[in-house]
Amino acid sequence: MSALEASLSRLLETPGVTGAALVDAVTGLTYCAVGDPSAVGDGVDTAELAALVTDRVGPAGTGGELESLVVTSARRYHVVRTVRRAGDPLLLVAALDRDRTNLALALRQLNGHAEGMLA
Amino acid sequence: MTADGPDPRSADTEGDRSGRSGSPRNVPALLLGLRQERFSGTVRLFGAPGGTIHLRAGLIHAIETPGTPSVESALLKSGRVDDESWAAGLSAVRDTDGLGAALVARGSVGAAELEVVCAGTVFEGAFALAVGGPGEWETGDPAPTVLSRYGVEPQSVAEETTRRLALVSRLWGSPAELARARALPAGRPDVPAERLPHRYLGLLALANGRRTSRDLAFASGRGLFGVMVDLIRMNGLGLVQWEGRAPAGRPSTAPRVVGDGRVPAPAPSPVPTAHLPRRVPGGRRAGHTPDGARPSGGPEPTAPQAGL
Repeated sequence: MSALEASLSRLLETPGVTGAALVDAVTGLTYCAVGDPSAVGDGVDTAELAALVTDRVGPAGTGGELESLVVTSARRYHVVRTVRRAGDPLLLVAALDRDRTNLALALRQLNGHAEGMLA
Repeated sequence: MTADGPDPRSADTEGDRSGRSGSPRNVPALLLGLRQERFSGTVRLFGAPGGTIHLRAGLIHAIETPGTPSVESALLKSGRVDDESWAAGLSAVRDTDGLGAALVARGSVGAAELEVVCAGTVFEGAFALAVGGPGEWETGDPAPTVLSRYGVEPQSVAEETTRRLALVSRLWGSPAELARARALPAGRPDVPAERLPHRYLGLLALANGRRTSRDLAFASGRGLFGVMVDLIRMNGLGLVQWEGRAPAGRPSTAPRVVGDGRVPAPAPSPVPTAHLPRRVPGGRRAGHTPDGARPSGGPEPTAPQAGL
């Protein structure tokens, strides 16, 4: 197992997480995906969504770098967290089952994971 | 799709591998054949920019090309690894194949970070090669370079490259032209700098109307496709414009006349065009109305419609 896959797989231990992926925020390339890939969605689409928010909502006042996005549907949370690094940012994407997720706790764990996953 | 893009469907792998007649029709077809053979070695491409694809058991472990920064450039230019650590890593290994592992072992770069950089550089390299168009190739023995620990399937690389070429073609035009295009900051950006992402600010600081997209990629240690995508987005936001091109990504809505003649003609001018003054080569010759002098009460001269 690659270092990336090992790091990402630890996310699956978080209650409610059904899938996770690490995506290039600029090119949309998916570097690694674990768990249920259909739940996580396409990396290109995720990067497009993040770029849309950065380019359109950022200039309107929220400003600067995108930190996270939470998309809520009837059964799922779709969380996108920016992973900052020296090069182009990455997106840590996680799909969570709503019935089994405490969103505040899961976000906290995702944030902690995003900080250390490339070290 | 452009004719110079890779076509993963044309998998004709019969024949020799020297890029001559009877060989695979293009590089993706060659790579698919080499994957089946579990070939380990290099594929050297001749052309502009040209480059070298490093294969192990048919999987792509590195692509080096002057068209986009290598793993070394990406790590050093972006500041992930400093020159001293790089030199120390080099001195610890016999050839560069083991350099990545040495850098990780020394703690110069994280293992996961290095995997991301190596994989990203493979896809960026493939894109830069495809932008350069088709050319001759030859296969050879393994050569030392910074290899990704995990190889990438040639099929994945071909599909992603096709997607990238199609995206740039749709949003901007010829990828080869964009690689050569020179961006410069637009005169009055609509967005305050503090509300822009760092990488946009980085490109704005480097774009001076003389650096091409490829130059910007090398100056920032970023991949060519990533830089192109950002420049296209920044152009859409009115942040950059292209040297020698109309400013700020506002597409022309003027009607375009095509060859079959079935496009409706523009609505006739309310004033007969014969009465309008025309700019003519040679200027103020006898028998022509001088520029700026128009018949009393007549309309403003209309701009010439040539080239639309």
